[in-house]
Amino acid sequence: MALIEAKGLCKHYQLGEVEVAALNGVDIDLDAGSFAVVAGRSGSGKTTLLNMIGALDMPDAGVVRIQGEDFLNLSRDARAEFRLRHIGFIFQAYNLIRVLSARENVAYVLQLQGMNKRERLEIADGLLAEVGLADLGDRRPDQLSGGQQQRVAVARALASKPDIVLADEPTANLDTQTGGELIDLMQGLNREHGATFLIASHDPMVIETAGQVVQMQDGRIVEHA
Amino acid sequence: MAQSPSGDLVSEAFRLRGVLQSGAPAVDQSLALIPLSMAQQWLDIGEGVTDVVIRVFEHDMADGVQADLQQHLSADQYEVMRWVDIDPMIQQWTEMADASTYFILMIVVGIVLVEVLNTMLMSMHERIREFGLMEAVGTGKLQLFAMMMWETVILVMIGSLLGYLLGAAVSLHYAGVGINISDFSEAFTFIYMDPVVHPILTVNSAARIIGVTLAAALLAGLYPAWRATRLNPVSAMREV
Ligand SMILES: Nc1ncnc2c1ncn2[C@@H]1O[C@H](COP(=O)(O)OP(=O)(O)O)[C@@H](O)[C@H]1O
Ligand SMILES: [Mg+2]
Repeated sequence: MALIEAKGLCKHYQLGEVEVAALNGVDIDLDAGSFAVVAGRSGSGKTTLLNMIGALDMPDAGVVRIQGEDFLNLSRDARAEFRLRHIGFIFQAYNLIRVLSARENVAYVLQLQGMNKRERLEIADGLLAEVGLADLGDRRPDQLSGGQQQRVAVARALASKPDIVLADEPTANLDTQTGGELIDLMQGLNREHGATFLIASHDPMVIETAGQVVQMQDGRIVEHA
Repeated sequence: MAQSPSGDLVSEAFRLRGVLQSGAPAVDQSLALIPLSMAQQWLDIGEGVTDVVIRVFEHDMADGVQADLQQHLSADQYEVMRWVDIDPMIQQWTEMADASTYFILMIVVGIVLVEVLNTMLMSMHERIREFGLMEAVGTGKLQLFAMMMWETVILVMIGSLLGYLLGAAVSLHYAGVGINISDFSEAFTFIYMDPVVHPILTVNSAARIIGVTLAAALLAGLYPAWRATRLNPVSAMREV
């Protein structure tokens, strides 16, 4: 059984008078331990696909299963709980809670899982060391560079030991070198710990590194390599 | 010059020792204070007095004292009157003062409601993305709601503490030096009162205002907190 199975995903948005088909029948299977990139130009439906897989949004048609579990009939709170258990998120920007330090941001999801303070801060410190921010745990997001903030987001995404990490344009706000380092970091975590990544990006550098590329266009998958 | 109980017109000269200024012209222009023994001698009434004023510690004690006195003194010789019987205006006046206090309290409550609502809505608006993120990573509706309510409580606690310290300081200061209201004395010509009033800070009035503002603040916090739970994480994250 694939870790992630999505079948016939459709999502339409109403933009004024026009109806936009953000997703138009998308099937995708992902195995545990993959490092996959969803490529495609802006507006091709990458974010929408990730939101469906991440239980952030509901498809109009189709189904997503993560380890055989689907979340179509779950309440909003139950879906939040589902995300907490199964999915790690890295967004393009604004990943962190402003008033919390880096380690508190990482520990936040563990707090939601009910872990005690000492234990969760210990895990957060370990993860921050792993993403190369061992000494910056006490800094607040506005005291970190863009690249450092994204590293904290990577640590936070892994903290809950999710089945899959979904990263939506994680390098879009970074310069080439910092973006490259972030991708190297994620690849390292994938190789060494078997963490599964699904990354939406139109950054050629990101696409190059992918073990698996899903090319999207106008809400459909046009190439799967 | 005065009339003695026997009906004779008597007069006497006194040496002026001082001028009393109540601020109320009606009092200042018509009242002279002389020692009791002199008055008794002058009017030739021995040890006699016309009025006895009894001052009780609290307003509420007046009724009981009146009832006791009426029981012990014969009604055809003594008239026992409470202060409100002598001048019902005073009671109306204090009732009006109470009413205006409540009116001011209502205004304060209104201001608290509007201010807290405004502050928390703004604070929520500023953090729409953050709420979206928090929900995306697994924060439940109830947790968001509780967080917003806590923020409201903390905001109001700090605010009322500061406000209360300031208010108590002002109040205690004036309790010491008093507030001179002789400029407004025209308004009080019907009673004789000290033109300098001393505010009293009571636990009761403090607790009342803190309780009422806290309740109002919590009420006002409900709406922004509810709004925070209604945000959809996807559109919240798209918000620029
Ligand atoms: N909330 C929305 N309301 C209206 N249209 C949307 C919404 N979200 C996405 N779309 C539209 O759906 C299409 C796919 O968007 P998206 O998934 O964000 O693409 P990508 O991430 O590849 O840039 C676009 O045409 C976009 O305008
Ligand atoms: Mg996108």
